Amino acid sequence: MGNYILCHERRAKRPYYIEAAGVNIWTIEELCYFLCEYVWLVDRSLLSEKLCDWVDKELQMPRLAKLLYAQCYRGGSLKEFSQVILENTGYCSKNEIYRIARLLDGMEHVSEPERLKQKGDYLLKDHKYRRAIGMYNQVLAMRRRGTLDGHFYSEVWRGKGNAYARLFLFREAAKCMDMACEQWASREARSSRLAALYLSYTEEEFQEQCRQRGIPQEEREEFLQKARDVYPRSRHLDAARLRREYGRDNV
Amino acid sequence: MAGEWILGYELTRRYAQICCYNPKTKEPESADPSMGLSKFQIPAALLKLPGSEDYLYGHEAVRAAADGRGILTDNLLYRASQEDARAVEELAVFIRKSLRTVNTGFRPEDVRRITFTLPQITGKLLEGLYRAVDLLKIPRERVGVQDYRESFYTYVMHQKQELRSYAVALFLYEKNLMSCYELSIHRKSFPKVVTVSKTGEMAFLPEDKTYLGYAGGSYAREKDQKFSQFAQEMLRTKLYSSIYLTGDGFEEPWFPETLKLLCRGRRVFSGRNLFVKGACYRSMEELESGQGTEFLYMGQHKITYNIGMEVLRNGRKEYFGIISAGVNWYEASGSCEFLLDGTNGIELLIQSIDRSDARKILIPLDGLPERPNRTTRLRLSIEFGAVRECQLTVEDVGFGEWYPSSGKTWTEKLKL
Repeated sequence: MGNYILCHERRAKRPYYIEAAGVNIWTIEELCYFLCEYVWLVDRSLLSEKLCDWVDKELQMPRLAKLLYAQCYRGGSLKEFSQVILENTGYCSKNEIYRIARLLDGMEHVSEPERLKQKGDYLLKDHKYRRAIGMYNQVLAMRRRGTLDGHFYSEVWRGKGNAYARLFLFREAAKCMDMACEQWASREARSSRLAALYLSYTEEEFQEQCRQRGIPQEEREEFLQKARDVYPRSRHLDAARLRREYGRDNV
Repeated sequence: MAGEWILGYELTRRYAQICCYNPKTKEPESADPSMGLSKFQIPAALLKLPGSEDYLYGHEAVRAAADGRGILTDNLLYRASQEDARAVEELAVFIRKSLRTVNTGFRPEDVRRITFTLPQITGKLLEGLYRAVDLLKIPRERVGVQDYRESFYTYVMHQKQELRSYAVALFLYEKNLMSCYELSIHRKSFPKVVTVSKTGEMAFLPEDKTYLGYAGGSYAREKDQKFSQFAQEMLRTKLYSSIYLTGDGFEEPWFPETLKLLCRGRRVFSGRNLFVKGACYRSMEELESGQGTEFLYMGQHKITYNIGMEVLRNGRKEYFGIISAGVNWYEASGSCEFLLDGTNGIELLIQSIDRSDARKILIPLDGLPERPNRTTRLRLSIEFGAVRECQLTVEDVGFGEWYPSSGKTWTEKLKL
């Protein structure tokens, strides 16, 4: 049998903007949801006096606000700050709070590029493609030799490529997929590259592009077989028209 | 003096009376429109002066009508209950003007709490009254309404304890009709349940002054005798600590014999402002939170069921009451917001005040949008249409920018 979680009766008149997720929240439950579901996006920007003020004034939860102010002033960790919120609202069970605390604890040791990539992945999932591309660019700009392996950067390029593809910018997507394969030619990266090329060019051009990149014939054929089932050529998107409509310069 | 008025307001077909809480004596005081003559009743009548937008009210209106200066509009509350917008407006004008007897600079925002007391309550009367109150711009949460019986209860509860050691009786004599009520306290329960029940009724023949052999004295003696018998019948069955006499029928001292009988081992009080004072006491009670837990008045308009849900509050499972028994149905409303956690319906717990009837009611939510767990936020509101009839409304209020409201609502009528 299910439960009913009683909500705090106050809803903020002015929302709090969570920059990391790019969303506005109006209730304490939404804040808890963010902490539980998007734990990878939680960063120290959350640990602010502004949030404490919002909890105090807008949600009128002075007791919780007092505890949060205390965490803020004594320079508490993200884990402690989030724990205070979750433990005083009853949104999730003790086990979940423990799980999130462990994740947040682990995140203290996670490098900045890894965290930013997670943010990019969240933004991509949330259909915020331009912001996701920005986030992936930040990760790529931070690249230093020896800190993270090629597989990680391959995934970053692939994420960026996916974001471009969602914006119908298939050539940009194909370039990103090329970079992903250069870093780490995983099965997913190779498949994504073929998909981007398939959507960018006519079938002849596609074959030519594949030859230039040295993609084996069998791999191409295997892909084409699947692609034709999913997306027959007769319904092929007119890339030029899409470019005109969606204006790549705007991206 | 902003936001300082704590009032009781009695409104009948014929007259109105106002009581105001005096912070110095900490007691209600009747507003005296007669400037020291202790005539507290204001005729519930309005008169619109010809060629003017202004109204006369109360005694002034009655006098003007007698002088032929216009047509008197009376029966204000009952006309307002007939869904007549003009009558509602006139009732609002009357209330506003009459409240100026308390203070000439009356402003609706100065009312901290006002309780209206009416002889009887019906849905239509309430509607008319609430519409007039809305026109006066007095916020609904500052307005209470109760019937005479409840006003009698609140009045008695604010008198000395020894006056209610046993039962308390009330004789109400208006328009040749004598009604008798009994207030009993059931001391074995907690809170102690108080009831006011009608124990008898007696009609007197109107005095026929045109009768040739008319002699005022003999008519009065006869009436006194009848009243005495009526009272004796009632007092024989129970012990009474005090007796209250109210109504315009008791204005003249026509009942010396009965009075002797009533006063035997009991305290007897007579007055015209019992109900309005009771209403003012209620206003005072409402502002003193935490008071009045010892007694629970159960009248005919009181809800006898508790309605709530089992919820998770700060991680602990507990009962959350939305409607509490002991509230007048027309004043009962409650709501709460919650998140669904692994369920697609709402389970309500309904329990009668004496715990003889306990039920679980499941409200299915057909067409509920599919969302991840704990992201479906619903608002449940309960309102009453009669003492045993309520309407439940469930509204999808959405979960921030992640899951905006679908705008769906579900309604269910419930018979208790």
